Amino acid sequence: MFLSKIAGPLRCAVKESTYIVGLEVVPNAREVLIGLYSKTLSELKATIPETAGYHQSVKDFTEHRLNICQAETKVPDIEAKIGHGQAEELIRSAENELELMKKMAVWKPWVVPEGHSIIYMTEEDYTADKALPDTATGRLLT
Amino acid sequence: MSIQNFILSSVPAWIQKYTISKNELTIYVYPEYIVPFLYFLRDHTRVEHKLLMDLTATDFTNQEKRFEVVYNLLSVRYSTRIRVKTCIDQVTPIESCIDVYKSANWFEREVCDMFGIFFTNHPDLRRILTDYGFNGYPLRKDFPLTGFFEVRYDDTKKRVISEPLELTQEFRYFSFQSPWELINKTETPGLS
Amino acid sequence: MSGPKAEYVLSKVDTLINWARKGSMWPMTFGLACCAVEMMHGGAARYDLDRLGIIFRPSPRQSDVMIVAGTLTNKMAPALRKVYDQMPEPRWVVSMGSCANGGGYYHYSYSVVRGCDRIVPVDVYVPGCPPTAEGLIYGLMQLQKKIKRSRNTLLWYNK
Repeated sequence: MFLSKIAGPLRCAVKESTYIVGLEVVPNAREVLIGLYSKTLSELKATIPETAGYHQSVKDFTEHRLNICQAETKVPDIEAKIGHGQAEELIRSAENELELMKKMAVWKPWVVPEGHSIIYMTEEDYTADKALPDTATGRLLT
Repeated sequence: MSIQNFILSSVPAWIQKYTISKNELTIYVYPEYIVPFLYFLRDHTRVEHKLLMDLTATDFTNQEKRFEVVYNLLSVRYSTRIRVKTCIDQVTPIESCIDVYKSANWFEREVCDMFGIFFTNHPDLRRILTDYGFNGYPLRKDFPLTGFFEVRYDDTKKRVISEPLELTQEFRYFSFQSPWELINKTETPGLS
Repeated sequence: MSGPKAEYVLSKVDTLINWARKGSMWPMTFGLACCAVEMMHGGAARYDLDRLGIIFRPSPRQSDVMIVAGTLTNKMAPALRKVYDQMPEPRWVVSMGSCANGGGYYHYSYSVVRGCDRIVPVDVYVPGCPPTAEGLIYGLMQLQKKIKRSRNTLLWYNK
């Protein structure tokens, strides 16, 4: 009787299911998220240089999410404020981001070789007939 | 920040050109960086493109690098699509993205079967659509429409054999620009 | 028994056998492509093939007619021939749709057999793309008329 009195409120605190196949409910999601985001930020400082655009963007949203996690105490509030799905999904994307950061530190895409510039093709350039058949004769326009 | 500016600022070394045509973003990448770029697009939180919708190739005969391998990605989280293209020629192999997207398995088999583009690190690159002893790559522009061999049953050998092609009537190409005879044309319609 | 009387009796026997054969033609369906759906329409409620005695059998060993419905590709050709060879005599083939008749819409393709009559001998060709279910039933009734015309016993006697 005693146990059922305690177990009631305890049971309400954790949600039943994420309703996503393969994702189990993580009861201490807030702590896990805070740990992951702090680890992300520290790894970011250590491995990725400050001048890279990648560094800036990861720092932006990780700091934003970390602040929200630390401000709110309940998991549903965190989910609502971040607005990017459930806490378990946030945990998964944070883990993926960490994996990616390790790989990016090796690949270094921000190191642009000399003479490299990104061409922007306008709509006319893109839709110009590259090698389409001539409708009159059926031969290619090469 | 719009998605193309974001990608361009994060990974500038990998991108050759990009375009936005009819509200669809297309990014051209160098072929050696295609797999890292797909990892970036799949895992990074700001561009979570978790689904590979299609993997095909196109043959542009007037370019040096004639094949353009096209990856169509979908992000369910941000509800956007991105097209990633690489240009390669017929002798260069390209790395398989099967570690990034498992669904690329059969797509790459199909591209290899139809175009002859070889994918390294693919576990099982055999033919998927063409006939069992088929030679040639059908979707290339220099492969004729009717192919080179046809199939019939031979009663003496009691099996189906394939022999060189003999068409009773060639494929006739009609110009549908106008139902009347066009005045300036010097060639007759129907002859290619 | 003298000649004409024997022939009269045998022709009646022939009529009986042919009536039995055409009254219960069991097809082996070779539904390859879109024509298969029209074949399904033929077997469904509006144009019921069951009332004509036509029950679709899954095995070639238990069927007497093969309806080739759809495009026959080069890869499928040996399999078609094998299924045809597994059918016991007497057997007939109905070629359904323009792809099975002569390559059809895909006549100029590199991987299409230009008509299933390159692989199996055909008795009735049903034109259409796809032929309506009514058209298919018309073709099957033509096959029934063809079976009715056949005179196997009489030819055996006269040989």
